[in-house]
Amino acid sequence: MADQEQPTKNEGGETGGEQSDNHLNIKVNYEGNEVFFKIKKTTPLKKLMEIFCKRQGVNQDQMRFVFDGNRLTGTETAEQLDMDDQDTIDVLVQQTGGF
Amino acid sequence: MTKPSWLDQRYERTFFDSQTLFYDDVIRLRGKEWLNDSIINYYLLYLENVKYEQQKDDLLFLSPSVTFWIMQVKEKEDVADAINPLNPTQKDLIFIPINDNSDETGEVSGGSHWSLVVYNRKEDTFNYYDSSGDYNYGSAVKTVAKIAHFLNPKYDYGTMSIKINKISCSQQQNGYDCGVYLLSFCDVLGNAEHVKNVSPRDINCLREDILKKIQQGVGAT
Repeated sequence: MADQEQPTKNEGGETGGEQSDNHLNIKVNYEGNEVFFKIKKTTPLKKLMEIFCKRQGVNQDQMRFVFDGNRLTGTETAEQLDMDDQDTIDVLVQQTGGF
Repeated sequence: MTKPSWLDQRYERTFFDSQTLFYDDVIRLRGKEWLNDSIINYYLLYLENVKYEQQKDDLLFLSPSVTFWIMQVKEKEDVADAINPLNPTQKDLIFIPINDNSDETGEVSGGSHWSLVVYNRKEDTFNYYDSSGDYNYGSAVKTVAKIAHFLNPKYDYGTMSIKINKISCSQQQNGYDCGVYLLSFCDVLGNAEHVKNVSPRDINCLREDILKKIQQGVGAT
């Protein structure tokens, strides 16, 4: 399971032609930096969100993931959202405070 | 943190035609969670459009996203474009939520503290209300420097020397309630009540009260 959502080092272009029907390469755009993920179409995006935040060292509570103008809750799958290969998810910072 | 039975992971509802709340926004109202910009904005919209609807011509509650945007843009014209459509020069009391994330270092973070600046046109004063000492005072000075000119043209754009009065107000006793204090201060000031009288109990009640309003769909569109 866990190895399905590994970020892939990919400079655009070729995504390694062996891509199966069940997987998509998705870009995650955060402050102009793009990180590529190979994801399973049927896995809730929550997992991608968690891994992304972990890798970037950012607090997931402070991030919003947006696809096609809609905010993602994490329960959605790529299939439900009709995502295509190379589609982009944008990550925005939300403002919080408590202290 | 117990989850209200009506709130599930897929919760999504739009209020006042402009603010969509999701599960992970709303759940912050339960227990010891920090509030985010969406919840802050929901309650400010409620104050403006419901509770203080009669005073709509006099009161202006700036959305946290507007203050955030103003702090990100560099050009005076861009600040003007963001704030002038709200007719700030027509309003007597202008509520400006302050977050400490607006650093000019380019380092974007979500911030850690909310506080409040209010411009009072009749007295021509900027007052600063912070439930945690003067933690956000530096951010307040920077925000006022960018906004003041558009509230009252007598202030030069970008001047950091505008006098901002630190007002003695109720202090939070914990590390998570500042957003609720900000909202409570907005509420009592709208009513011309005193910010010293906000008690920890009021703060807990306000959390529940906001949650209840969301549940009831107050302002839902």
